[in-house]
Amino acid sequence: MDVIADGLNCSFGSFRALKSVDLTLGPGITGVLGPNGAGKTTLLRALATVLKPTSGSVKAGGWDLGTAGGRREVRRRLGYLPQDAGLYPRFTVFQFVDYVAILKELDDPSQRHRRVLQALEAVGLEDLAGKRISQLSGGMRRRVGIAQAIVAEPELLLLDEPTGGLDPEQRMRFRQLIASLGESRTVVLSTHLVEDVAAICTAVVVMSKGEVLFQGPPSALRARAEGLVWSADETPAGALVSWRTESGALRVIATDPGPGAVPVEPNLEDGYLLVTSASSSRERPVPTR
Amino acid sequence: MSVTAHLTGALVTQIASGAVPSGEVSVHLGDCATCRSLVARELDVDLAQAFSGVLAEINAPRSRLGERVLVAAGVPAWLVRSTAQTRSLRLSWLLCSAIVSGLAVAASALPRTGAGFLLPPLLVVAPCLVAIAVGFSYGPSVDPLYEIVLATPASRVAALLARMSAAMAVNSALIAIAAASGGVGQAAFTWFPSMAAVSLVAAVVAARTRPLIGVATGCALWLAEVLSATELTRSPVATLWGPLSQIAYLCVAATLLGVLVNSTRRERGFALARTSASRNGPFPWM
Repeated sequence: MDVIADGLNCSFGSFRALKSVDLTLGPGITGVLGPNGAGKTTLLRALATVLKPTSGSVKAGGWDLGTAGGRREVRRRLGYLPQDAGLYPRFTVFQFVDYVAILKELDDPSQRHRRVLQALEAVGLEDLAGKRISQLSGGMRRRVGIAQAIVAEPELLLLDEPTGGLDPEQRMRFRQLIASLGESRTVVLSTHLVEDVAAICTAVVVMSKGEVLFQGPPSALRARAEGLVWSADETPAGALVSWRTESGALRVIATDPGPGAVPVEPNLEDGYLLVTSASSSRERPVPTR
Repeated sequence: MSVTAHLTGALVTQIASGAVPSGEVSVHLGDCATCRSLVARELDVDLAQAFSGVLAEINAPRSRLGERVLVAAGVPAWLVRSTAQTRSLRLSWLLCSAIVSGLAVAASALPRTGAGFLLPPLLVVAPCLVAIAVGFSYGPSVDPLYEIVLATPASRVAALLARMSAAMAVNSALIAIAAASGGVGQAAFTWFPSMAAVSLVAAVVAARTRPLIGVATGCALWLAEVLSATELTRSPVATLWGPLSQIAYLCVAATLLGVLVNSTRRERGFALARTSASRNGPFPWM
């Protein structure tokens, strides 16, 4: 399902959470990266039809989210995991996912129950189907949230910080699951973890302060930092960002790294830091190759 | 004892031809997709899928009798299950409501002598009790699943009205039972119009702000009216529950119900009124 946002603005009083956002998302996995307060959650809520934009339009699969009919059609094809997804603690895992499946208009009980079981298998919770949600850990509850998002086999899957609270093994399993889902659907996941994006995303959107700073494939984001990443012993005066790595050396993003600096191959995180740092430090010149 | 190796060809053929597998073999078949596919190949059916269906039915929760009856009567399954999650229909809530009603009934039944009550406490308390139940029946700070539900095709208007009606009906019935059992049964009919008006004030304000603000507004308005009637008129009972007042309550309730349904329909699909989001946190009710 193609999603097109055109001039999307969302304001809360005088605060502008989204500023003229233009986006085109297609089948595959798009990672929305950005620091806290960048507008990722607001963007996903607008796409999920739970937040009315101040202005601008969103179309998904050709349906206009500005119309009641369009929203209803999109919701039939939508899976959504909010950032703070609440669950009914007294429900069992199966009951909860089954309830969301009912809301998603899966009316045939036997087919619905089968889908529920498949969703639980996908997130590795089939053995806990009869357990009450109140007895689950935070990571397990997050997996229940993911299961409810995928239970109706959505064409558009929106996941807000889906890997929060997952242990490394579950994060790996989650990546495999999303990678398989993204083969035929449009998956949008918001995260502040660059490694999640690097691992599975076919496209990346970088946001900061409500604006889209970058949209394109991860390789293009990485390429932004080519020739600007260095390994140095000390932070040069004009460095945009620098941090100490495991080896003890400084990793520096700068146009002029000073004497002794050695150029290194950029990664996705370098590209992300370059884009967001350039945006946040207005007084400093943006490095160019 | 459990079977760890895969089933032999002969055993697969026996099971496929109808032989009932032993307990250990059944357990192994449940765990082993390879052996299930071997048997399925013999049977020429998708045993894996069939087994998955069986497992799903084993895990599926059995609907409660009330839910089955309502669904059989044509009420959508999602609406029945959504209404069942209403916070103000929980046992603990209903127990509190029953206890407060009982105390109010007991106080109302006391002989009014000397500095006794000017107004029957039940008539004052009952509208507030139901308004609280209605105000907290639906909304982002009340229903943890609110945002997820908004992203489904389920109708918010229907969910809102079903939960409100259920909360109003059940809590009203509780108070009426308490009133009847306390010998002040006629009061149950007297307070109904005022209860409807106060509850709908709570619901409409809650819809535009938050449940707590809605409930506080409804109850405050009602108590202000009670106080002013007590202080300013000679016959507060006639002022508050006379025929004209009852008609006025019903008119207010009908108008507010229209406002509620209309505003909910107009905003259908969008959780946030952008102007209220900054004032009231991220999730105002509508």
